[in-house]
Amino acid sequence: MASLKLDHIYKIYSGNVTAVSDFCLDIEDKEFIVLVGPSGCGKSTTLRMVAGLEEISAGDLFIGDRRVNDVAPKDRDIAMVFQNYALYPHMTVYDNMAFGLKLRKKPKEEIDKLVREAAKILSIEQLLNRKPKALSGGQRQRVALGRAIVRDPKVFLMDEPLSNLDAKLRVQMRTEITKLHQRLQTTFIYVTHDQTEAMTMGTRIVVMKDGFIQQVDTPQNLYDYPANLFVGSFIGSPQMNFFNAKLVARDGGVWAEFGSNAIRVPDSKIRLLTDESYIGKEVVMGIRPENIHDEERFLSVADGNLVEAKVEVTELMGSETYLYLKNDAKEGNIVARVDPRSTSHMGDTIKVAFETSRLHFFDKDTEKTILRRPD
Amino acid sequence: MDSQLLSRIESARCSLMAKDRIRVLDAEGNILLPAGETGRVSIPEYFTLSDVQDRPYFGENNTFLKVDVTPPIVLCIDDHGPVETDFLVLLAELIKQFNHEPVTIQNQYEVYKRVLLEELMASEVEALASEHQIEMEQERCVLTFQIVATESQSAKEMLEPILREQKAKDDRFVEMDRHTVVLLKSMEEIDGFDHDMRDLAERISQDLSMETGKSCIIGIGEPRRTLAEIGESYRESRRAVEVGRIFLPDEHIYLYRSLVLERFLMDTPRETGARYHSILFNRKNARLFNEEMLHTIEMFFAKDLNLSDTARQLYIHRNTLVYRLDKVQRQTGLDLRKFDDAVTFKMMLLLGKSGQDKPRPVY
Repeated sequence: MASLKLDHIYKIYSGNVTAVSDFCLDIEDKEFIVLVGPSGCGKSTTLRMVAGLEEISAGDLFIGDRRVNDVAPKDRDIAMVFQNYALYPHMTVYDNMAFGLKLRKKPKEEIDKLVREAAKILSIEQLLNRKPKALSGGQRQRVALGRAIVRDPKVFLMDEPLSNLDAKLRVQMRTEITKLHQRLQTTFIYVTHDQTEAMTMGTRIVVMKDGFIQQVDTPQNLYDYPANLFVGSFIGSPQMNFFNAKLVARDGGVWAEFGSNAIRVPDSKIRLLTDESYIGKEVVMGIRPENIHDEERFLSVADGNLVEAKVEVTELMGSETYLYLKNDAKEGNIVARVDPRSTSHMGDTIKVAFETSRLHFFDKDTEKTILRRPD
Repeated sequence: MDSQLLSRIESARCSLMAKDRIRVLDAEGNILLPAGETGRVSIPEYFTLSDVQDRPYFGENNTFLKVDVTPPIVLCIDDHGPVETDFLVLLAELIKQFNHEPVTIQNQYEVYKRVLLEELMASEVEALASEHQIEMEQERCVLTFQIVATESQSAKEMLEPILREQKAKDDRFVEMDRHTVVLLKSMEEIDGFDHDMRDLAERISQDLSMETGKSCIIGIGEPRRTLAEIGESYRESRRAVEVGRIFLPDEHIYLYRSLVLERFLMDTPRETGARYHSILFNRKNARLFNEEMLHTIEMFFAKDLNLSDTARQLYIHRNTLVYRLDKVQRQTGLDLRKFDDAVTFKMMLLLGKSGQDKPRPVY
């Protein structure tokens, strides 16, 4: 078990290509940290630097109290699970799991004990004598995890370990890994490009883009208080709707005008503005699909905060319905996640209510949020 | 006569078409080869006494040629024709080479290395395999590992613990140079060549990374049934690395058999490739095919022309992707959502890469 400190870490490749910039993060013991972001954002590079597979160009990396920049991977007390969970095809599951321990010349009895314990944790005891070709994708993934567990590392590093599995298995393994973390009570650093994985697994999430940390927070806080436009759009599916809007003071309140629409921004929201001078300026307004409603009970209390739009497509998902709406405020569609019993149909022109307490506002130039978090 | 030299002479004799008609005699005419044949051939007295060298002598029924090795030998063939004479001269030349640079292969390791480098004739391989108790008939394939060695550690030293630990009974590994190690993998326990070999290579690569922090490039040749053919597998594995690093620089495991298109394009004359490449990639389209667009298209191909998967991977809206593909279609006439058009585009794109200079060696 160990804490980690990444202190102003940089990765600069030849040709002055910067893959990771000024990465600062303190990871507490037993945390499940998820690095998430689109491909090329630097998340895997960061993980590989922690593993010792990439040299750190600048900055300091500590595992526990020990600076490990120049320590070989095998001496960092870490174990890594790669995206490609390859196993030695000619060896049994047992021998695959024991491989790393044999390399370290551990006594046979100790190896046997560790392999069997790990197999028990992963419920693969009955597979120990099988060869990889006789395993399903999920079972292979478990064996790959087993290889890491037997080493009893201080830190588990996982680089998109589920991305080679089919969607159903991915969901199942997601839960398994979360349970594993709870059981092992060890620090996990997990890389994914899948925001759903990040949200469901991490105790804290690091959102990255273009080599920079965008935000570090709990899943709920990331969702509710995105630090910038990118985080707002990256976290959540379907993604947040954005509008170019102008905040206008009139009729004793502040209104967000977008296209031919206007909705009143609650005073409680206005009080959270980082700078009152945004009133009168162009900003980017965001609202999540689930905060746009077409049900009567919302329309009746919307207090005029209604937007008229044409339903272009409806998608019934079972537990919810997505409405793809057309309105002059946006070039693409506005997406609303509504009750599956919604009576809106394709081609209808309907009114939808924006839940104004859930509005987000971002600076148009810096793209940073212009709202403080409520106390 | 030294048995090893005799064995090599026999290998050389057997490699000739006229092998059944050629005999190797000692100075008295006793038959040394073919092995097992006994008796004596009468050598004309004039020829025995003469000091003529390198010149065939036409006897009554046979042609003779002396070879100045220790002890001297006489080659004999049962005719006087020019072809027969040429066979003797050729064999004599080969034998002289052996005599000057005798092959002294002390151990199995050296045999494997010389076979991989294709420095031995098939018949020599057979003789050496027998001498060093190497299984001749066994299906094997070559994995070539290229690693940047450090001053203190060669590629072999880095890989050895892993290769030794994963070793199946008949696997062998050979250091070709400080940066290159070959794993001769027995196919006995391999089921499903492509998948298993990729898994094996990936596993070794990951273990190497975790043990040493070093990465490696791996080329995999085709499996071969006899020892004499593994040199071809080695050549293929090196070719796979060479071609793979040009066309798939982000990957690190290259299977020779998976690079058919790329190899074909590499064999296309540069001028022809450049001519076709410029049909699409010309000044007119330079702005269209910027870095972002090419990345988009390559990802679209990597995701098997699946719009949703590509958009998700690139973190762009599906409509943005459709817009970009429409733009390509408008300007080039190629609708990349259609298989035929996608193939055309891919070929032209790859032709650009095939015209590039070879990448620098890994080390």
